[in-house]
Amino acid sequence: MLQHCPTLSKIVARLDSHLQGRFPDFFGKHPKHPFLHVKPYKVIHDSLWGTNRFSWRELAVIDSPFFQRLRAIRQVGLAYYVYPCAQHSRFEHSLGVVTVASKVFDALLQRHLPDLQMIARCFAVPVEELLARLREELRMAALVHDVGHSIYSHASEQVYQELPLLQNAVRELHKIIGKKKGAGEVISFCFSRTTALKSVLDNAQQHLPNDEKRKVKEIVWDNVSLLIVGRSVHPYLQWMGDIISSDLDADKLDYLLRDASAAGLPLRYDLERYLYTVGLAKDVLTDGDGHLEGMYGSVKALASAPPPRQEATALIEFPHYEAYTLRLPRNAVNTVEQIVICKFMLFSYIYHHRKVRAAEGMLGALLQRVVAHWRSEGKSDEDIIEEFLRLDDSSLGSAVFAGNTDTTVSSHSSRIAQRVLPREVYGFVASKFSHAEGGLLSEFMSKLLDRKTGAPQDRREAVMKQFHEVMGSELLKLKPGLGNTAEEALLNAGAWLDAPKPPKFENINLILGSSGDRIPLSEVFPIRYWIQAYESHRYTARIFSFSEHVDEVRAAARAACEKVIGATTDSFFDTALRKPVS
Amino acid sequence: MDNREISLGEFVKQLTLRFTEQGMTMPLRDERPWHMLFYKLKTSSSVAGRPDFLADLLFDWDGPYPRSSELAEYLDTLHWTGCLSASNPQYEVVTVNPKVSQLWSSLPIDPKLSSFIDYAVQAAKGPFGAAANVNAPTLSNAI
Repeated sequence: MLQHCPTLSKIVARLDSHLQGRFPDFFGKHPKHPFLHVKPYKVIHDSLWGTNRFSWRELAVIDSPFFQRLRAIRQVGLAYYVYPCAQHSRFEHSLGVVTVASKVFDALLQRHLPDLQMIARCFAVPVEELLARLREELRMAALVHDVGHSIYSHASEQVYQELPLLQNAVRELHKIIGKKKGAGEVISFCFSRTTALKSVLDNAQQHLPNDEKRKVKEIVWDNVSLLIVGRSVHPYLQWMGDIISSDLDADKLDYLLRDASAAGLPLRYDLERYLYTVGLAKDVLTDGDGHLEGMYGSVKALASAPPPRQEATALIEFPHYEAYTLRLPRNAVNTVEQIVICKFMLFSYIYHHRKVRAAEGMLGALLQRVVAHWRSEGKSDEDIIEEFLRLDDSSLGSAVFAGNTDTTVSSHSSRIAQRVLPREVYGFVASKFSHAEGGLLSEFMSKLLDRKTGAPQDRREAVMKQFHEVMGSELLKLKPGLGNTAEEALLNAGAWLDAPKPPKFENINLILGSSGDRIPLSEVFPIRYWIQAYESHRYTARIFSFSEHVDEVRAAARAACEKVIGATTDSFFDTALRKPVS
Repeated sequence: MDNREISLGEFVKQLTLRFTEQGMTMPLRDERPWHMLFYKLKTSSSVAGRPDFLADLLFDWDGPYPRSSELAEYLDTLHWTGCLSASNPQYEVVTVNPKVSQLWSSLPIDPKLSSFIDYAVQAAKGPFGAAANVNAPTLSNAI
């Protein structure tokens, strides 16, 4: 599959050497683990989904140190500084996704068995055997879908996703699967391609009791890898990719409830109703660029020949494949509404909370500084990815951070560890500025969200840079002791403009209905109105500052707003001002 | 601003200005015409003045037509920031906010890029015209 993908191949090779070198007792050529016989299964209890059974194969992955490190990576980053109980980790989330994915699979099996049997008959494998194998592949993909995460989850992903090597890898993966995935998913995909992972599983298999060993059926790793990124080895199995990575996937079904529940927020959706209604639909996957043709032709599929690609027709303007996809019927709209509301609320309560943004913004600045330090030591992107894979949430007190010779890195990491966080000085919400300067703010915010599309031009970066240069220069004038350059002054004052990525409402394109009955979500409930209302009233671009420099940062930020946004009136700044407690 | 400098966002803004000048309706609820147009522009590599960002714009092949998540997100952004407004209750079409249209039209555009935008406007007339007619047969309701 990776024949013409030098970057992905390079990352896979590096992951192999990392796993074998760092954890030789598990992934090395002469592993010591497991010491004893491997049990065919074990039971793990989850706070959300209760008692669940995991197979020997899953346990071999779970017990490996590369997966165990997820215990020390919090699912919602630094949100526990605001919601003290939100300490749940990527580890329990990953196990939860396995359980939810299995529930969806089992619901399909129970309610759509004839469809599944019909699909299975297209392949040269007995139906029951095939379905059992697909279920195992689905669970394995769910299990490892997040192993690419590093310190404080998405807070670090925002930094390492900028590495050119990973950006190339994202593009290479797009050429294979015909859709864009994030840097974390790329690493998880690459992990599933490593020989180190296969050797752990082979070794575990050798330690099974003899009667169990005879029952073992192989799984198709090409399918596991593709499921992680929302595809599968055959278009008739696209619904499996949808269960792992799509608009309403098992990942979302788990994290929405887990994040809300851990934070103590009374947000719920009706999983039982989802499981009752979820189904399969005959659909098409268009393939205008030929990516899917290459993918289906290169993987070890279940059928003897690759699936036939249909030519374009008057109605379907591109070459395409007949596919079976996951689909919710029209009467599931209430469940979808609940899920969408849950997501809105989690962004509002947790992910975009001002103190969470303050902490994660500081961490981002810190990690960028650490990356620059690694680069100055001559480390390549591959080395830096490996460094990130060594980090977890406990690393904040390590030599990389607290013990760093760069005083900014050490002081920032101490501040984060001690929760001495910056405060909001100004906050810009699109709907609040209805006067003459509202247009200026609309234009400014639209530039802040004009992100890179792969080309060197990045309007957001340019505007941020301009804003920070003006704010930093003003800060230096007001307080020369803050540093020698504008950049240093900003770092030492903990001052920056924060414009987070707004929630991605991919659900808007979700199709409801059964085969031959495509109903976009926007036809059955006013999701556009919700998005518009939510973003206009809740989304906030903020300027932060350490408490001891608030007055200077406020003045410097005003100068930057005047120059970059063009806003000059007192009423504009009064509206944006985050008033101090008097 | 020339074809090497222009970003996706700036290009969308300039395009909406031209659509407005030509009296064309711009769909919002139905995103398909936007994605079809941008896919066509991406594949029009021989047309002079084509912006560089188009070569790197990635499209997902997950349904009946190619879809760029960056484009979809940016259209949403222009809507909720108030740059584009939809006063119609079903959010079928959007119009450019007059306050921002003055800001956008003040951007100097290189003549080659300008002619590419004209090309894009012509290319949009098919899909955008079909979108304006809600009864016209579309791929999504044909499957």
